[in-house]
Amino acid sequence: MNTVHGLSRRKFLLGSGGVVALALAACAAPVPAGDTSQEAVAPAMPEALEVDLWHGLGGADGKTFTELVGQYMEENDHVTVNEELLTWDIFYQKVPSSVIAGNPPDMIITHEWAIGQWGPRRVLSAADDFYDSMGVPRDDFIPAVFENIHYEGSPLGVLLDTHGSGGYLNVALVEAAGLDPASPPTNRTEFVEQMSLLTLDSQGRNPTDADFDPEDIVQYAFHSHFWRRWAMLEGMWQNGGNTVNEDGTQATIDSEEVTEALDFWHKMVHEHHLHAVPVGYSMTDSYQNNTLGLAIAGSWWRNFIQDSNLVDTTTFWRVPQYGLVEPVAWMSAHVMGIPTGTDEEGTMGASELIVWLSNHGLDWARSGQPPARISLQNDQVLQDHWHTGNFGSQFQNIGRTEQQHANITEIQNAYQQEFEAVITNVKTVSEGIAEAQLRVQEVLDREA
Amino acid sequence: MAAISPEQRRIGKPMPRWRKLLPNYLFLVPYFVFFFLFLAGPNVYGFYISLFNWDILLPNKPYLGFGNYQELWLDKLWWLSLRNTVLFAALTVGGNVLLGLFASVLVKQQPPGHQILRFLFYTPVVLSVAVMGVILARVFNTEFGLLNYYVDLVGLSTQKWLGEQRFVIPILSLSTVWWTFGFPFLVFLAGLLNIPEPIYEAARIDGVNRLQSFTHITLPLLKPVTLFIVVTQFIAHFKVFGQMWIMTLGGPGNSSYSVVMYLYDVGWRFFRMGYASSLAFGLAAIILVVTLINFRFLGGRVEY
Repeated sequence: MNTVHGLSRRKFLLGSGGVVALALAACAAPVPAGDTSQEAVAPAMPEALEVDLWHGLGGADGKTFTELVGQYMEENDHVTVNEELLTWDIFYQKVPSSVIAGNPPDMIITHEWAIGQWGPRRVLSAADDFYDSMGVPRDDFIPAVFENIHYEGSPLGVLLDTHGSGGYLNVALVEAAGLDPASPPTNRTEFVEQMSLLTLDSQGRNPTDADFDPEDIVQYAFHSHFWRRWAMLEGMWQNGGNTVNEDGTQATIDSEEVTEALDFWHKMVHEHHLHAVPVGYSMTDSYQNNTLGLAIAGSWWRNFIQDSNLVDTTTFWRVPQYGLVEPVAWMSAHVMGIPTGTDEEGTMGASELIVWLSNHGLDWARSGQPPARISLQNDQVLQDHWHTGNFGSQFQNIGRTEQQHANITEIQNAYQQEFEAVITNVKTVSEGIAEAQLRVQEVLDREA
Repeated sequence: MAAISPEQRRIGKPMPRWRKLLPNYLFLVPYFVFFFLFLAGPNVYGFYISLFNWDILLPNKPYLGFGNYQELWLDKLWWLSLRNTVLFAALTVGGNVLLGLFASVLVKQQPPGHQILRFLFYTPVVLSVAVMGVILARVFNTEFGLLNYYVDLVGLSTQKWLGEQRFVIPILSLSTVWWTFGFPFLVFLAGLLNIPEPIYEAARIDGVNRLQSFTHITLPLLKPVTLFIVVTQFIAHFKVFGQMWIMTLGGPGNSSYSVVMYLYDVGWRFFRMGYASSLAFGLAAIILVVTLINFRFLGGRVEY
């Protein structure tokens, strides 16, 4: 008999068939979430709850969030939170996949601007209960931000914070340039004048000096961390323009306001030499190494400033007015939501955690992110803080959110790529504007 | 006379041909199950998806026929990303073949320290793309990069390496060659060691010098190995994603935006799986054409 170590060929084939059958069985479609056909009775409140939480808080604010989750578990020892930190790109890819697969996490933290794309795709459950019966006050949020997390009349989550851009000023460099950190510029002309004193070549000359060498710059005046989006949006908003019209049917990138804003940014880089060519440049390294005067970065930079021992040499400036009409700062928010298809137990655990986090906005403010609730933002201790108080006030006064759209990511991507091509001299301003207009309009037309 | 048992009867009768062959086919079954489940099936389904406006999360997925392919034909970004990808792949494959061949010839001569050289040449291959990307992004950083430090040290003007259109693809390609040439190096070395030494000896007796020996013996006899390397390298580098994603995000101004980056954006960031599938089939068609061209020029039979 043909055997190997006592195993006959027939037995081997039978065994292999069994393994394949098992593998196929394992690939069987999962039971859809919410299918209660085998559970006639709703489960009682379990003694122990487990919450699977996905988020992308991997910046400097991430460590505060993890501390906060730890604090929550200490105070509520019946709950275990399984925190999964993903990069935002992976997060925005995994969340819809998990919803389609019927196996979403119990809770996610997403962005306010993304609600427009989650709403029509039914990624998040309506969150009315939090406001109707769980004590989260509807009127304690910045109205524009709260309005933006609604879809078909219902909020799709609870706001954790209000975040956005602001200025981190290197006091020593500003003083060395003969400027007063306590007197920020109030309009474009003053901004350009002041910044011109902050850019230096290796011989210590400014762009205003006749023999300034733009090929040998060792210190730049300012840089915007998310220059492809925030800086461009702030520029056009401050001019009174926008990427699309109010009802989201027409691209308005080829307007005078947007063209002027883009032209200004191009000049900042290539004519005035106040801002580096952004690709291949690290704003973080430059700020840490005292070769950058003003960093326009996110409110979550507080831990970075603290950990880099830069607190004593940094002060806050609100987003400068680059535009011609009014000051505006880009803002958004983190939204805590429960994905569609989360089971009853997961919903229960996530709801408790969401309410707790909403109530602990002041603890979350340790990360630098102003709490979403205005009552907490206006807390005197927070208001007196050089960083978080200033950011919070800025958002309340001149903050602006992006316009919601079901294809917001594609719209953002289209204009960002074209604007980058202009800033890096791959295209002219008029070419970039024309192409961005065309691409954004294509997205809007497809949606229509 | 004792009755013949069924067992004895079976032994006496020749086994039918299909019974003889059955086990062979059964051994192939596990492979084919996985092949159809994870390769052929998804491909067929991917093509099916490419015929629809398939937003992964919307219930309504209208049938478009070949509409996505028509859009692809007119899509400027597709052609731009394809141009970047072809340029990157051509430079990288060329660099890998030349450097891999040079290194393998060098090591075959067994100079002092050749074992260390072999180790050094192959070491970068074990790095993940993320590690490679982060390291080289810092090397080419405008302000604090290692390269600009040395450029400045020798008195030349520093450059915005990754911030300039003319440099970005060559730099990405150069970085990838440093990272991946260890594999072609090993395959070439194996090919070189496989060439019978008597051929070289006979040539030497006939007065052939080293250069002639390399061009008339080594290169022709390495043709099958070269074909293998060129084909696999082209396929690999046409699918470039990680380096660009980490080092440039496709910039400056889409100058290093690759087809797979575009596909990723369309599929996973914009949720347009139908169009992303048509991009994938477009890229597969291009790879197929390039592979056929490679076979046409390098696929001749070699005998010795």
